[in-house]
Amino acid sequence: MLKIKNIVKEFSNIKAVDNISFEVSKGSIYGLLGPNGAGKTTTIRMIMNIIQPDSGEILIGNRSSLEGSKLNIGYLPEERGLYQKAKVRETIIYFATLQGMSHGNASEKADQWLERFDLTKNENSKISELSRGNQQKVQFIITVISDPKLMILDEPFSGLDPVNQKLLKKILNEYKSKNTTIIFSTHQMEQVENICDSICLINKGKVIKEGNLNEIKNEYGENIVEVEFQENVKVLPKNILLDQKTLTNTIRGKLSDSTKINEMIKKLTNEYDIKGFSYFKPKLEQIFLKLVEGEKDE
Amino acid sequence: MNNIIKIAKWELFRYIRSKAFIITLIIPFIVIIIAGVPQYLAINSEQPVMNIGIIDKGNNLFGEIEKQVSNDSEGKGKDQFILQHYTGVENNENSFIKELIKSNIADIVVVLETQLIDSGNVKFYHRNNIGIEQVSKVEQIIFNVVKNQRIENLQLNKDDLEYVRKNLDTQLYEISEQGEMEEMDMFVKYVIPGIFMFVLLLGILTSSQLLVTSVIEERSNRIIEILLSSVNTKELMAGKILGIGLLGIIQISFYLIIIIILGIFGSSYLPIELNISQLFSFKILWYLLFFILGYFMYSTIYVSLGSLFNNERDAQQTIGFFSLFAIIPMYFISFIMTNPESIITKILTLIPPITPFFMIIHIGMLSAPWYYSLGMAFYLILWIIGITFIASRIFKTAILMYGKRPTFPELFRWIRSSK
Repeated sequence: MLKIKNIVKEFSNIKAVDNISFEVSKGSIYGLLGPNGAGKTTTIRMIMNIIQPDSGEILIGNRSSLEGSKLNIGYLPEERGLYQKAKVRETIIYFATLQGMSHGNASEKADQWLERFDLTKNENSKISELSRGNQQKVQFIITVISDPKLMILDEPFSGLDPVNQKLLKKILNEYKSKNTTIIFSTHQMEQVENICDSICLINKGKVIKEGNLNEIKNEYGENIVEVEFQENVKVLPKNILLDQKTLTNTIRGKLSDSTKINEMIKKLTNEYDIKGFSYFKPKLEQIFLKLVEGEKDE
Repeated sequence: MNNIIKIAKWELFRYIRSKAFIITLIIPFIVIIIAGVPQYLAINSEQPVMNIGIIDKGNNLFGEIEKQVSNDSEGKGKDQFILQHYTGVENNENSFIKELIKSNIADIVVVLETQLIDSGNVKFYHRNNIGIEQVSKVEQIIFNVVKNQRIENLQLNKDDLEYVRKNLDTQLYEISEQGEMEEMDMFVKYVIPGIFMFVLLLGILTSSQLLVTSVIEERSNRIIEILLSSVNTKELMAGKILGIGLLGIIQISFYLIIIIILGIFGSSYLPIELNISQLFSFKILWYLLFFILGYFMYSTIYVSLGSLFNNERDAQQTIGFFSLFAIIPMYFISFIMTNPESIITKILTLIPPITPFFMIIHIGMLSAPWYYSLGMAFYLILWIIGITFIASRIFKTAILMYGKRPTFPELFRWIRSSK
């Protein structure tokens, strides 16, 4: 769906994006992750054809993002804002028509979305009269109203309460099942851990890791396990578990390189009465920090 | 093109509903009221009663003066004079006059010297807080009496008298360089171009605010990023300028409609004759052309200015600088009317931000030939194309730049750069 090939963008001799490449397959949810100033927004702006790369290529479907007219991409920028004095419904319709929808179709869809987000009663309110969360809902409606095949969402959950975060996740999953490709950009990595299929970690304009989220987690996993026993077990043999920490009826530690999980479970169940077993995948943030620190060491 | 129209429509409705536009629309009426009320009061208000002492040294004109005053004083709002005749005061004239004024018996004392009809010798004494205007009015009354007396002394018959007193019936004709002659019409020559100039100035001052504020809002709210995900910078800029241009046309149409309505239904209440049929003359198209060109040029400048600033406060100074160009022509109206062919007028007319204003004066008040107007229109269009080119390059780059304001070298780099 989206192919980014070696894009470079320089501002005043500073490389904001330095030879970034990645690929996003159709119908997947992709996380573009990195700290503030990593180059995420610049990359997104180039995908959106708001600015053009100094070199490199961006292909959406089989078309270059630079070709001809604007492509239908739903975009939710990080810093939200709308025409504060304009009314809710007319604002949604205006942006929908700019995305190529007819006025009639835009009106109909606007009403449906306002109802879904419980904003029908506010349709004639000025944007400035809405709460921050409601303004964000309006902005999200603008992003999705024309059913774009590609959506780019910059920090979509910030400012939303848990109920609306849940609603948003539900809607995004619906779009995913309709084969819509969704790109998340965020610096709060824990938000995307259970949504994204693949990720691209960016730092200082460069890709430091890219690929399937589970594979990355497995690659950087430290094989931490936690075993809960029915009886009080203080310690396990070191050939099973290293760096052990003992809590009440529970031992946490690292699997030795030679030990496989299946074998470990077999050994434990033969010798102890086991109540529970957990395998900890590393947090994305931990992987990111590890990678960044690794870069510094080099 | 479709997107340009959508943006123009959106911007137009946003502006039309803004308080700033409604205020702009009514400003001319406020100006007329502010200018007209003192005038109205001066004409219609009850004037204070003035006591006039007349010392006539043997001319026997008091009766005639009384008659003249009573003729003049008919109707509300006219001067109210109470006349008092004094005789036999020759011995102590000065002290008598001083006493009359000091004790408030008279506000003005007029001494009609002997043989007044022939010598025309009159002395006026008045309290120092009496306006000179009042004194002039009394002087005019005395002069009319003396003039009538002189005519009478000539012993003219009634027909001759009427013949002498008959007022002028003035008609002004103008002949152009090509030898074409036309009757001068105040409404066509001064009022209409004046309205176009005033509305253009007003429009520029308002649109500068509206456009700069709107671009700054879009930048600071990052609406610009959503807009640019659907449209390109050229469409966005063109849409905004078209929207504000339409607003200008609506504004001028509003005033023209009011003038037509006044001309049809209320012309008898107005101080000048509104020759409505003249509104539909060819000249109006020229005014409209230069009005629109002027509007577009300033709008283009202001859109790109808006993209350079992060907040309105920072933008104010620069807006003020460019708005100054729109105000300059107002100071030069009388100069160019008296010196249409001077080198200064010609140079000023060639300065693009001033061109539309001066051309409206040229066409209206000085009847510029059509080929000159056409040439200047093309000249202005070329400038607008140039300004649009520069403005769009600045707009395109600056619109997504946040933080520090660009320096002049940076601006030149953006203009030269094609990316």
